[in-house]
Amino acid sequence: MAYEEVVVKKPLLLRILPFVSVGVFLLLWEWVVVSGIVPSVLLAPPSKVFTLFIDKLSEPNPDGAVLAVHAWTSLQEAFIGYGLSLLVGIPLGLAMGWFKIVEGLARPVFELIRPIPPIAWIPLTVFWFGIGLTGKVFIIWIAGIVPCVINSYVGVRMTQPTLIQMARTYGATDWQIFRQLCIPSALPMVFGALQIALAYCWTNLVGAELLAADTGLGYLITMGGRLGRPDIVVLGMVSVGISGAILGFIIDCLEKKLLAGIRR
Amino acid sequence: MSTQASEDKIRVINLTKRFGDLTVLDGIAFTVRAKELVAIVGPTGCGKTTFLHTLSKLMPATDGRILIDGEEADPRRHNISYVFQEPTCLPWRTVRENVAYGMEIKGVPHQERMERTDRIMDLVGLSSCADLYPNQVSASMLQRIAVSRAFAVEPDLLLMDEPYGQLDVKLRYYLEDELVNLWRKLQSTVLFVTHNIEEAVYIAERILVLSNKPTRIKAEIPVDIPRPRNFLDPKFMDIRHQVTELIRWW
Amino acid sequence: MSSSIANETVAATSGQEGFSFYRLVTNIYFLYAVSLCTFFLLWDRVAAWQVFGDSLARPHAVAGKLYDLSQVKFAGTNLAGHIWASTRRVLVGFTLASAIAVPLGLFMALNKYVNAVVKPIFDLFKPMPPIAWVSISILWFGVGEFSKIFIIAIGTFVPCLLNSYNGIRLIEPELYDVIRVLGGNRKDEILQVSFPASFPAIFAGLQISLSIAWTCLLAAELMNARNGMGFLIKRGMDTHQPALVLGGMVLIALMAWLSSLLISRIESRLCPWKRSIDNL
Repeated sequence: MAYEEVVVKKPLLLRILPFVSVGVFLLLWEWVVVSGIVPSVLLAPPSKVFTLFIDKLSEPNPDGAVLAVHAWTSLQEAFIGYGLSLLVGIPLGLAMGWFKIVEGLARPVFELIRPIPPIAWIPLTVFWFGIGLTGKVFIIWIAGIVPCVINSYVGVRMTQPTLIQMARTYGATDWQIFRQLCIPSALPMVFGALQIALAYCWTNLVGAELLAADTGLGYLITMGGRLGRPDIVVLGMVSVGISGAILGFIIDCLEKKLLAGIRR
Repeated sequence: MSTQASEDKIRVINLTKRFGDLTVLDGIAFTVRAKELVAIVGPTGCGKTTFLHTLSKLMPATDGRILIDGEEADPRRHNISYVFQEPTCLPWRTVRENVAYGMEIKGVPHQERMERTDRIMDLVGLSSCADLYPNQVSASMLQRIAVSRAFAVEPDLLLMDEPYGQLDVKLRYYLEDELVNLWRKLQSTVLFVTHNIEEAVYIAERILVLSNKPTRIKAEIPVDIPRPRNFLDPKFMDIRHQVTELIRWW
Repeated sequence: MSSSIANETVAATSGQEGFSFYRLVTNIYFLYAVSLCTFFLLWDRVAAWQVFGDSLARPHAVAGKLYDLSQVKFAGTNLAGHIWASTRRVLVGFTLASAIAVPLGLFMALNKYVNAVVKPIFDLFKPMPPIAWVSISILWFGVGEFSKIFIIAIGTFVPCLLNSYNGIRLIEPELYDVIRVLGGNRKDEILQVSFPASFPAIFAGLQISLSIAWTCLLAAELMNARNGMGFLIKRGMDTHQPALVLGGMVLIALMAWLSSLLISRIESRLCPWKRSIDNL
């Protein structure tokens, strides 16, 4: 108890500094634009971004859709792509970690694809699937699958060797060891992948939408840029940041729940 | 009890293991009678772990045979158990489930598995923490779980690789008594590797002394002291001295 | 000792007896060869049978395209020129960002007041994907060189800073005790423990940054560029030349791979004591 009190007694300065710092940052931002030091064609002040946010909740112009529609489009693409990458990446990574044949067959192709930045696929997906949902889901899938495979693979590889030996001396089959030892011990790493993959997916989603889309938060940013409207660009960036943070938070909670579920 | 003549349970014939040019095990041959507790001692780094790994078929031998009841040893067919130096508990299973794990792989029916688990946990005093997870119990408990799991499968051959090497002296005495107790009640055949001579003399029916690399069996010393044994018994001290002289690693 | 146990495990799994056919099938290099052959064959067949219409080039067409580009000038420069244009942007942006972010991260971790001021602002920007900056950087700096470098710098800044920060925060306190017991002062602690111990984390951050740098570069070049590998891809997209698109992808993957190899080489040179996990 005494221990906790010591921790709580942070100096007052340290406790208020973060708020001061953010406050000063926002005020400074507002001031440089309003006072004209930075021309308003280059940057919108926070107050203007906020009013635009209120407007965009109901006003589809000038970019063709209200904010909720953009956000929904992005979320939809992100979720399908993310879900698919988990669905394929995790089992593949787990199997690559334990079964030599799977590793031998999958690894070279994986290593070939891995260094390609996912947004480099945009032209091909536009050729193949057009600028609709499918193409973006494909790019997000490619982006998310890499961390899933790597983490699951490493997780299986890090299974304590003596546990495997122990199971072997009891005569366990390869499949039994995989199911009863490797998968449970890889789970924390796999859950770690959920968060990383989400960040990757979200980044590349924005990239995909900047280049090939007709709705979505990334598209909102591009349109703001094309129309020379910094307020729209900043609003788009902030929305992307906030929705990304919310998604990350949800996954984080989920991860903690799941981890607690294993340890019970 | 076990001094009575019974047939050979384990026969090891000319067991040899080479890693490239390095010969680690050089034609080891010995037999173990059923229900015997044999200790194996040797100088540090003499390849005790390799020896056990080869015996348990974790590692293929370069040459030689290991026969259990006259048949080639095979972990899928024979009950071989192995207690490792470090604790080997599955962190995601409770103590009870960990003890039952060996039997689960062996395909022991559920009902019997539960009965045997409960019996063994009673014997070693694990019942009170049956539903805890391994990260909630102490290090000595972890090693007890491994020992219980090993005995629970009613092994043809139980290999123990310095299981108490990392525990403090007091706990060690206690666990050694417990081991002897378990072995007498459950009638398993045990091969106990250690570098602690006192421990070997205290628990074993017979001691095999290994040489430096390339490892051979240097001597075989029967320990016919009645139990419970006393460290100050002249005979105990005599055998301990005898084994110490054979090893002399200082 | 523990490594010998690991070796024994490996020996136990690889020394399994079996038919020679079984051993062939489980030979890792054989499997690699099968995998690569299948991949390229499948690619070639899918392209040849026009599964995607004329929108997928066959492997040899891509190789041919790259060869052609290395011979003649395309959009003012030859292949090496395009590669260098992109690489230079990444180098400048990456160096600039890491030169600022790494010290700042270390400083934040070592001084709580700096941390209290910088961390919240940084937390505001952290969830924003770097690619989202593309539009605003074009708005601010036009379509020239600087706007591309700016995006790369923004993208690489975050992981560099975060990793050097965590690298120091996660040092085991016992290591400091060693210095204190020997009578060292704060300076000794920082020089002897904090810096070396945070090296692996910093390098991990650099690796992540580098891959983000290539992604950002690509985003910037796809949006607007007159040379570079991203430009090749974009031109391939606009003129519908799958071979050019794939050629650009191959090049950028190659460069990304080479640069990450370079970083890990430097790392193993600088901290040979780092424990490596096999086969990653």
